[in-house]
Amino acid sequence: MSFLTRFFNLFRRDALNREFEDELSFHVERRIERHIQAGMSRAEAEAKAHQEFGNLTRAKQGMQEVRVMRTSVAVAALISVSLCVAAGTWFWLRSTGFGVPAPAYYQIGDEGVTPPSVIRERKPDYPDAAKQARIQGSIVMECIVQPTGICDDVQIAQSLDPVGLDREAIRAIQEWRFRPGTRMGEPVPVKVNVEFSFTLR
Amino acid sequence: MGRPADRLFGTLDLLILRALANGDTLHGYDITDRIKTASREVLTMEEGSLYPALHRMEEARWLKSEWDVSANNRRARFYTVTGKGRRHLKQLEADWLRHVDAVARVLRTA
Repeated sequence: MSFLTRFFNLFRRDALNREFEDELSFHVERRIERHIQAGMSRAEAEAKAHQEFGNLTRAKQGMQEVRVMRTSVAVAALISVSLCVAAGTWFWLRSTGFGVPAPAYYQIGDEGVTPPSVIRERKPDYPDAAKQARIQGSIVMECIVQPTGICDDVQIAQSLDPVGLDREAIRAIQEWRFRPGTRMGEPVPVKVNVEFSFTLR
Repeated sequence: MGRPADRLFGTLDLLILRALANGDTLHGYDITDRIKTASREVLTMEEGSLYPALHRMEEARWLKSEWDVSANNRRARFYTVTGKGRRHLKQLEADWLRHVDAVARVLRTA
């Protein structure tokens, strides 16, 4: 409170100075009147009153020091307040996602991200050539479920048969449809892993 | 500080609060006179040094002030003591009495 008053007093220094002068001259003039009443000449009374009062300017400066914030303190205070406001604004904006580039995709388990779910799946074909070659095992793929519900950018994380079954798996996953993952209520791209098993009976 | 004109031994705040303690509303001139008279002219100071002290004490909320018209029909700033000021006065009085007592003790033994 007092800190703020002293700050705002910076902007009404002239008015304050007049107040200080009024207050001090009231004192000195009253002292002069008293001395005159006691029988002194005006000149004597004035000299004595001023001597008793001491340095007027110093008294006024003393009052200013108490009532008005030093400019350097005010500047420092303004700088620190504006830094705080700027930092606060920045953190607030970042927290709302402002200026943070959205990632190309999110991962399952990222904060605030709900994972996609499968709406429609299709089993991959198991071509006769692969069966005859007795190729079996599993293929793991990574792909990104887009807000459209399609999984694209398919990568083979664990290959089984590069020219045959891997291709079948990619073809199959491209026909899958997903309910997209969301973040803050909006559909967002989310990376998922899908595994297909090829087993001979 | 250290001027022979000030023979208050750092008790200016105490004396100002004491001068206002009975609840009177006084301007600086009357406060000076009250301190001088009560101390039989022993406690004197440059009268001008009273004013920075009054303003500092108002900033500290020990006093409050307002402009009013004096007995001789002139505008003057009048001071009164606040509740906080009274509590501060009690503390200062106790400190001062303990201080004087301690100095007296030293003077008796040394």
